[in-house]
Amino acid sequence: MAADPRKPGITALSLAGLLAFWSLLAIAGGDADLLPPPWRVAPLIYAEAASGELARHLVATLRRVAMAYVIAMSLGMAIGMLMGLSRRANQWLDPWLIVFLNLPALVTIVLAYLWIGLNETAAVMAVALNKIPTVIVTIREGARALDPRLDDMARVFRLTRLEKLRHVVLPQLAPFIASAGRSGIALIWKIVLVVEFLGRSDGIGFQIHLYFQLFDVGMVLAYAISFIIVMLLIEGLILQPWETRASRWRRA
Amino acid sequence: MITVDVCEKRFGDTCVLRDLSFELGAGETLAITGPSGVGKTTLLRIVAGLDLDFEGRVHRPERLAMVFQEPTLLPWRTARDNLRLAAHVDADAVDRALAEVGLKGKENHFPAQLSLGQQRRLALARAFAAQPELLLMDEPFVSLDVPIVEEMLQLTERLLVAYGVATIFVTHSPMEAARLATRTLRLDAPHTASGAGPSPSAS
Repeated sequence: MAADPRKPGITALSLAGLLAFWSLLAIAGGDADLLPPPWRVAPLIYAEAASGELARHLVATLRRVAMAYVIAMSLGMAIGMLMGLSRRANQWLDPWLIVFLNLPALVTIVLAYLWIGLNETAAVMAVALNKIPTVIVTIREGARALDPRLDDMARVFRLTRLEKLRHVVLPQLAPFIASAGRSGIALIWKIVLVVEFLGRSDGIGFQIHLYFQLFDVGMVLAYAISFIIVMLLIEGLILQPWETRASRWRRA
Repeated sequence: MITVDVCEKRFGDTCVLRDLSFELGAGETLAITGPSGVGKTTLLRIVAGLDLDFEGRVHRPERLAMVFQEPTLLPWRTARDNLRLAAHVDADAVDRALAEVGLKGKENHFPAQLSLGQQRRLALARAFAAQPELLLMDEPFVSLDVPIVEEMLQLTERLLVAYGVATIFVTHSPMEAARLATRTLRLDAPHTASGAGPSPSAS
């Protein structure tokens, strides 16, 4: 699981290269309405941030991301562990899992809006439903790989359920949880934008929808880039340090 | 008092253990010997309550401890936490138990940072620190170098005397059985257990 040691210098240079590439394309295209260069988009981000609009929509989106994430991870982990540990549960639930894994995100979203209504519950539910099956698959893999010898040890020494979960089971599942959590964030924030695009009146996805209809490429890019930056910060400041801590014993 | 009464234990169509019973009191040490595949570990797992799929009865005390064939430590917890979590004792008792098996100064090491001999000593310390009423050991010295086996044997002898706990241990080695056990139970062919029954041969 351990990623390559990050070289901050290379990362910075590589990102600078991306900006340069974008600038070149913008200059070569010569149409600032179709592809505005970075120096035209940056002031737009600044203006939206200063007016408070950016923060309002960002918070709305992040709230949905967080709720869908918590629901998807907890349900996915519970069902995944059940299916990994019980053959019978797996035999019964596996066909459902396959159906839900292959359900296109758009179908879940549209059906959730049609059945539940154009509201927050439907939006969060639709996103969570898209993520739960992939969490289940990953955690099930982990639960199948649990070491039976440690299980014996826990039984002989009379560890309580909670002690066993905390000290025996979860550390073994940690790499799988981290992997599900990481791909989870990446998938969820993309689907949240679609959900907002289709049926909410705030959030980054709604703003992108609005400026799409106005054909304002600059504003679409401004919102998209702001959101990407925030998500990368969350990944770097929360998810990666947690993963490093959880796998400390491997490098000892 | 521990009583074990196994009428029959099968794996599918194969009968592994039949008509085997013995009793064990505090301070006694029973060695179970016999060739590979004869069901020694199976018997130990039945006594431990890890294998419930057999005909017969086992009366065992509430507090058990076991030394497994492999050290079976939690790789993600330090030596101190490994001992504390399984034995359910406080920090002082943990440090004392570690010192008792010569692991002083290794409290914050993860199992992977210990040698196999040290890991086995940690497993031994964990079992005794749990203050069990019945101690089970499954080939606790297997795959160790000869001088380390001798060191472990002396350590185990000392601990067995100090704690006086009823102990059942599985071994291939008649020498280990003679050194540690007050009685020996020899399992022979897969279908009949000679020396089994109510009076295992004493040694």
